[in-house]
Amino acid sequence: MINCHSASRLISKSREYPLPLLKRFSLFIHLKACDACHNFLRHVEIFSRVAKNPEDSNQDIDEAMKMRILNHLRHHQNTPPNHL
Amino acid sequence: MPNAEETKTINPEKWIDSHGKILFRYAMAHLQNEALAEDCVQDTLVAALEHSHSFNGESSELTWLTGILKHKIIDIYRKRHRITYENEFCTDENADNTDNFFDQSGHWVNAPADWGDPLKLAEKKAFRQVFETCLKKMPASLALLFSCRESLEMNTEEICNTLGITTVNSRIMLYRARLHLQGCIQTNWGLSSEIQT
Ligand SMILES: [Zn+2]
Repeated sequence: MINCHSASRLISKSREYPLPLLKRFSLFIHLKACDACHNFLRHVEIFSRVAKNPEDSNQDIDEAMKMRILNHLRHHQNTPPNHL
Repeated sequence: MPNAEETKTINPEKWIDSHGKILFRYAMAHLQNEALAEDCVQDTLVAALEHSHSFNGESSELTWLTGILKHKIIDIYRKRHRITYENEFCTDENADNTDNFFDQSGHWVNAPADWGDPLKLAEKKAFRQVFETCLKKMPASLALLFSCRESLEMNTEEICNTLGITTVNSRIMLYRARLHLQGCIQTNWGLSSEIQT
């Protein structure tokens, strides 16, 4: 049976790509018997969930900001690009 | 000299009206700073203006603009963590430096405990604060990579192109980032949840 070090590595990798069948199977067997790695699997999912949904700021772009950006863009558009 | 069709598609006013709100919210969510978010959206549109010829119409306009915005956000992350290409990313593909999390026989040194219902946990403000603190505590290159992968939802190819690392390396580093978070949160969440409940 694989140890926790290998199992946790597989857990992390499984977030990036589908594991080959044999590795998936050995991870499955390990998780059946190991609470710690089972917790790690759940935690890795939590990390992903928390990172993906940052707190909503409730702040919106306002008209003044729109005008500032637009003026900046117009100015930029009328200046001939210097990188060519 | 741009042809008529190309010039027609360049309309910054329309960009702001139709996508400004979404772009700004996206930037705010990842930067938590109004001035930075405004700059970011502005820089995105300037870049879009300069590179409008690279918009091939295959993706939607919003997808294209969001792609540029992601890169602007990464630039700010990089400045925040003072990361440069040259010194931060180890390119040794065998550097699986995770030994201190496990003992000789491959058992956890600090076994992951049951933290409770994952759904409820992700909603808790206190948990988010511990999470953010732990992200700041880990090595900057790991934090940047983790944010690119999980917050900006970049795929492996985008990550490798943007950060100049290999697929193997990015997987090893993501594993290390997750172990860091596991260890750090376990230590600090244990303390704060005792106070909370
Ligand atoms: Zn285990």
